[in-house]
Amino acid sequence: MHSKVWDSIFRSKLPINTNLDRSLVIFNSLTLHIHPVKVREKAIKFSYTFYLGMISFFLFIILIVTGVLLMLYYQPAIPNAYENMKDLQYVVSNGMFLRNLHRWAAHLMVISVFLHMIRVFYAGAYKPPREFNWVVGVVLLVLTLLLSYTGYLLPFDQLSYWAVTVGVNLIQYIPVIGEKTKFLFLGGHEIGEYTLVRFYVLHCVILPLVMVLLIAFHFWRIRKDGGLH
Amino acid sequence: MSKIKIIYAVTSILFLLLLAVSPLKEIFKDWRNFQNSFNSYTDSFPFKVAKVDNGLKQIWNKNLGIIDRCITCHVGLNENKLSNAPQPFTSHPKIYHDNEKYGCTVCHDGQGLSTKYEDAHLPTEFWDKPLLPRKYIESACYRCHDDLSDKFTPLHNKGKELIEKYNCVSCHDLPGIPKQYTPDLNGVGTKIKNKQWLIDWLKNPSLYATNARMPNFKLSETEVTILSDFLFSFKERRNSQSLYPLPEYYNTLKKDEDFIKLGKVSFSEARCISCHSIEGKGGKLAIDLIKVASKASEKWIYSCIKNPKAIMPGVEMTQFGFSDKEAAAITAYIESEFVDWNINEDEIQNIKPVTGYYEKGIEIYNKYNCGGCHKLDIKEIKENKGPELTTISNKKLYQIEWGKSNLKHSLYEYLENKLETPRAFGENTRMPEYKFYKEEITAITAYLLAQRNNEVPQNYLVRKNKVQPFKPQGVIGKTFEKYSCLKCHSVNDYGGKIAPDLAKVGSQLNRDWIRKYFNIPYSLRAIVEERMPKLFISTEEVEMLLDYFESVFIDDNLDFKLNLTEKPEELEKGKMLFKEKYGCQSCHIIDGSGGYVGPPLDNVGERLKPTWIYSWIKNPQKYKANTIDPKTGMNEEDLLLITSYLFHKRSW
Amino acid sequence: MNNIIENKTEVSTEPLKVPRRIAIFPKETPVKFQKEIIEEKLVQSFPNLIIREVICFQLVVIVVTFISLFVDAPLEELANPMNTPNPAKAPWYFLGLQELLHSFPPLVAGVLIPILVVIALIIIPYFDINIKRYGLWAKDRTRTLIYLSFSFTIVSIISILYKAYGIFFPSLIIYLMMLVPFFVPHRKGIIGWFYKMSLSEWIVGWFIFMAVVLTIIGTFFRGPGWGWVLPW
Repeated sequence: MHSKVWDSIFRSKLPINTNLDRSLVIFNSLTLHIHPVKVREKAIKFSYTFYLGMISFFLFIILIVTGVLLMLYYQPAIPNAYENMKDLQYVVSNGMFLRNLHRWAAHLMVISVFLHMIRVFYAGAYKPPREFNWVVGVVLLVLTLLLSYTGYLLPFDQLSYWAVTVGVNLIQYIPVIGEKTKFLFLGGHEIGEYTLVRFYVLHCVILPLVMVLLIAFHFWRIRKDGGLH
Repeated sequence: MSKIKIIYAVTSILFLLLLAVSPLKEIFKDWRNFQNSFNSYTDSFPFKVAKVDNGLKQIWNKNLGIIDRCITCHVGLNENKLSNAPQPFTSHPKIYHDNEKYGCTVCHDGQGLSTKYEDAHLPTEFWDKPLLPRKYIESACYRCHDDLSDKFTPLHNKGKELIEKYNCVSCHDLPGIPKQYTPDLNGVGTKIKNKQWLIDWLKNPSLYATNARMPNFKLSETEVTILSDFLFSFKERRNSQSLYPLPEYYNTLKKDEDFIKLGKVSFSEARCISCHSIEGKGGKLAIDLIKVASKASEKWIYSCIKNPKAIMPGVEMTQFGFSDKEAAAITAYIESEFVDWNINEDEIQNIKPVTGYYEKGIEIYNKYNCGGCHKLDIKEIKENKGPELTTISNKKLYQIEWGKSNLKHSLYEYLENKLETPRAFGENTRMPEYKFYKEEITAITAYLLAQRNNEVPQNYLVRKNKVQPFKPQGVIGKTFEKYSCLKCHSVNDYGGKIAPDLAKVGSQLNRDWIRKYFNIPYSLRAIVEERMPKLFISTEEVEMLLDYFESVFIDDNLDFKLNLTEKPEELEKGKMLFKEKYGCQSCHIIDGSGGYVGPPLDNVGERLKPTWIYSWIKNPQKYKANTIDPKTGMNEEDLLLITSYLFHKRSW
Repeated sequence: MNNIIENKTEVSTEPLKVPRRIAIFPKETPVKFQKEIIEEKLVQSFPNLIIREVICFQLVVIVVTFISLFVDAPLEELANPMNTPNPAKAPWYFLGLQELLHSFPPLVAGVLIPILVVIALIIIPYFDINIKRYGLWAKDRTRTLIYLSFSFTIVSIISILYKAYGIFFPSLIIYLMMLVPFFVPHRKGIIGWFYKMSLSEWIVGWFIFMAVVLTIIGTFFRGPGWGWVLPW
């Protein structure tokens, strides 16, 4: 096991026997080092958190992977967007599977984030010093909804068009800035190609970027606020 | 080993298994099976059929916006040897378009993007245009073409005729369909003898006449009563001429046998049955006369015979040149013969009108758009048309009111059902019932499915030159109108299709012959019963028409000199050529013997002008595209000899 | 998943061996000073936490993959602005909101309520009242009853006035649940749990219950013209 190649890639030496080794696994890994080296035994029980935050995060990972793959087949144009859906369904190898993964993971993520929030509230885990992380969590919930909502338009079928219309019509009831905001969102007075492009950019670039940054911040604050420690 | 490790092991196995299995679903897609079975199927053939390489195939036509993946499964489309293979491997019947170039859905509809059987062919919830059934496929031709002959689109053309016949355009806008004549109802109270007749007619016209064109409006008893009272109140003929008074001698003579006989002779001389039928026998252009005397008043019948266009504006019936006495005699004949013997005259009583019938009558009249067909000159009549059908084929399914019916959702199913039971789709529909035959429904549906906006690019459109309408002005126009010439004849394809085209008649026929023919029309072919009716045209009118024919209905190409011979031995040579070399007698009668296909040619020299005979024999199809007279390609010498021989066949 | 992989803990749980700070606090103190963090048993993150994370990830992927293999994502026909479906429905997570929109003016249901909910969620941790989490009925029961009934009456009047039965009935249920500990002296099981719940927990519970009920109504029980239909 102690080949040169292994050593060059992984900083941890095998076998892992001592607690020092175990600590070093966490410590030396880029992906793992956001974890503390030790955690409270009680805090990692399933019944304590139901792993809802973790589930939401993994769903987000699935969404990113499938989303990037879907982007390869997608043009934000009319009627190409819709035809791309048909292509995914009929032509692209496993295209339908990919789309299914993305869609169901998105729905599940909305549910799991919502449940996560409820769990945190009833555990009282929003209380100082975690109050700001709760706020970040609320923003993440809103972002999740926005991501799901902007993605809803992209197939550009009847379902998505009218679902988005219903939502967008609400914006115009905002006093004073309603009409302008609606125009800003739609890139016009009604849903069209520019709307599709705007929603596409929001869905694929802006919102995920903000989301990733905030998730990182959220995780960091969990540790700094005492998290699992 | 601890519990968590077991869980870890189980989830890991499941995880890897699922990731490995998921892509397998792709391999079991239907189209892959089809391609594989095609290859093994064609292996069993004695001849060689090209194998298909596995993979998705599609036809892409950027101009038409078509991506058709049909050929992924329909792999044998262009393989002529597979005409009897089972679907989806059958080869495509021979057509005029290259499917590689045009794609499939441009004609067949269906979901070209799909590679699943159900989605591609069947009406599915989210696809408006399922595969067009084979019987309707010809309506797809009209996406690019605008006018195709019966050879290509027989069903569609039949549908067009039916739509014309049933006068659909009185309620539905449809371009290019002329409105049929329908009687106006001004003074209908003076026409109809008997209110009960009107009531029965309104209830169900086909009970009176099985071929009645008026559909059944399914009026309620009260509606029928009100409407008949309303119509019966129109005793005055506003805005149109009043009926002609019967001559005084009519009443004394109407039972006189000689007088009736005169009527009968005139009736048959004028060949009324060219257009009218009597108990189903005779022409189909006009109404059946069998019970007409029980329906219409004497005075009205007399006026109709005397001058139909005066009392029925726009009617196609010609105005015969009968004298008053002849007209009265025909009336007497009709009164004596064409009576509904089942009607007991004593039972005919004047039923008292219901109160408020006039206002309610107008309401009903407008509700069912009676004014669409029947003119009634009172100002309350409003147009109340049904939906226009110009682009019916573009109609999306969501735009259709399906009512309570549970049809499979497709446009053609809707149209078929609408035509069969028009009131099936909701309470407020008012379309009347036509009792179409199944074939008629199919034909009309085929026509309607062709009514659509152009969706194909301009350069795909094939547009025929439209027929120029022939509308002479002045006295000639009035004469043409009076005798309804264009009901049967056409001029450069504009007009009726029953009788020959008149556009070159001046270069074709001798003046004297036409003059005689006007006087005593006869059938040129012994086996054909149809002939022109005797119109009783006055001499001045005949001469005027003949002048017009000879100055306008002329083909300048036929104005040349022919070196015809009069020498008997050369005429004899022509006769030999006619009878033996070219065997013309197999179709034409001459000297008392010959075939019945073409017209007899005894006295043909009296009828036809020599240049016409010459040019016709040279190329018959040039003058009548669908004639079966063969183009023999005979040489100039033979041609001249035969023409001389035929021209010689005359009494002068 | 209660099994923890054995490893040596270096923190002693023996109270006598480890010296502790002892302090006395007055009765009314903010919670952050109320309890000293009790030393708990700590375990190594690797492998205890990591293995759970991996299992969790695998399970999430398995569940999503399984659903995706058998249920296809919906795709209707190409969007057509001329063809308004009846009813036009928002994505399911906004259907609660759309249900509200049916009853209340758009400015209230579509703008004010969502904004207030988000603001309320954000300020929860900064909203110091009742932070000690006294049970609702811990103090001055009569006054609580009067306030509670008054609030409920207002909510009922507004919701009935706007025919928002989707609000009225869930509120009634929550109200009745809140009243249970007042009338029943039992302090164990569910009733004991009800007794311990603080006002803010009740409010959030009410909000969640309402959101779920409204979403379910909007998703399954609303048909053409936003009228009642049965989902089967």
